[in-house]
Amino acid sequence: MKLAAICDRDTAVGFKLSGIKDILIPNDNNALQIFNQIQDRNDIGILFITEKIVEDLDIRLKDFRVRNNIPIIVEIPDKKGRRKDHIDFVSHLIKKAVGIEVEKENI
Amino acid sequence: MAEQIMEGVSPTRMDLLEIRKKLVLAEKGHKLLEEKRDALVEKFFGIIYNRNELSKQIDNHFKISFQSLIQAQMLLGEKKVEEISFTSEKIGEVEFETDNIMGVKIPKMNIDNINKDIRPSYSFIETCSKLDDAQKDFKNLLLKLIDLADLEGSIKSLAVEIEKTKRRVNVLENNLIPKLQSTRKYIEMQLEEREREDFFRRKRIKALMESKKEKNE
Repeated sequence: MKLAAICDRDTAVGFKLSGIKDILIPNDNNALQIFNQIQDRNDIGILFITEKIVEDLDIRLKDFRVRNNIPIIVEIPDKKGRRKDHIDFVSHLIKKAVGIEVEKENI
Repeated sequence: MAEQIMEGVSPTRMDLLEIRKKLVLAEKGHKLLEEKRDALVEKFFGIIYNRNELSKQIDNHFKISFQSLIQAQMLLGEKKVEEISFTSEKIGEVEFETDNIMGVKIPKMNIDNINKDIRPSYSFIETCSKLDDAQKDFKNLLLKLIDLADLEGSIKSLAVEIEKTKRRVNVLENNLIPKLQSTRKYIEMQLEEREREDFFRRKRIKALMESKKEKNE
């Protein structure tokens, strides 16, 4: 299965250099549309999404991740680094399953 | 919480036997599920630890990679870098297999088809060394990201399963077992009460009959 990414322009260049071909770059308001396109495809194994777009998609992405095991969605930082107040989905899952937050030190 | 007893149970010896059987089964199941939960959590912690380590590394790696990319863009211009990025080789594809931990199906990646060593495919004459750095950094970064994806995939499946198991354990522990116990107690008390009544009745009748006999004599 293919690797794909939804990210901003600069990250896209980096990923293209490293060999990922399926890269979608949403502008300010069509992130949802692009994500729907991805949902309809079933040849994608890993999907990288930058944190900003994760926040834009919010609940829809969460639903999708709860329902589907594949594609595996990985949240990546953009060129400004990790967002401070953003809680990624996996940490949230861990907290829910174990009951405590398994600390990830702030960088 | 007041002790609840199960509905539709009549205080008879038959039902008592039934309930005792159920209780033994519930306790056995509870023990088993508890063991399963503990084993899963132990496994889970191992994976979380790995994932956090890797995620930290990746964050640092991202910073470095972006720095070299931005430098390359500075030297060559954004357009040029973007053009070059289109010429790179394909990374290939991943396959998914399922792994099994304690009956939990976990997606496991097979990365044999991934091209681990993507070589620069642009001319070195028109470009600068920073672009080479950026390409190399992003290539290594991507390999790490694929590992991370593997870990996060298994974390997700495990987390869902742990939650399910936890809920089952809790239901048994806080609801079903106490209910069964109080029902058993209720039936036992009822039976004992009936026995006492019986006993007393017999004594009373005996006394009555004896007093009658004495009168007659």
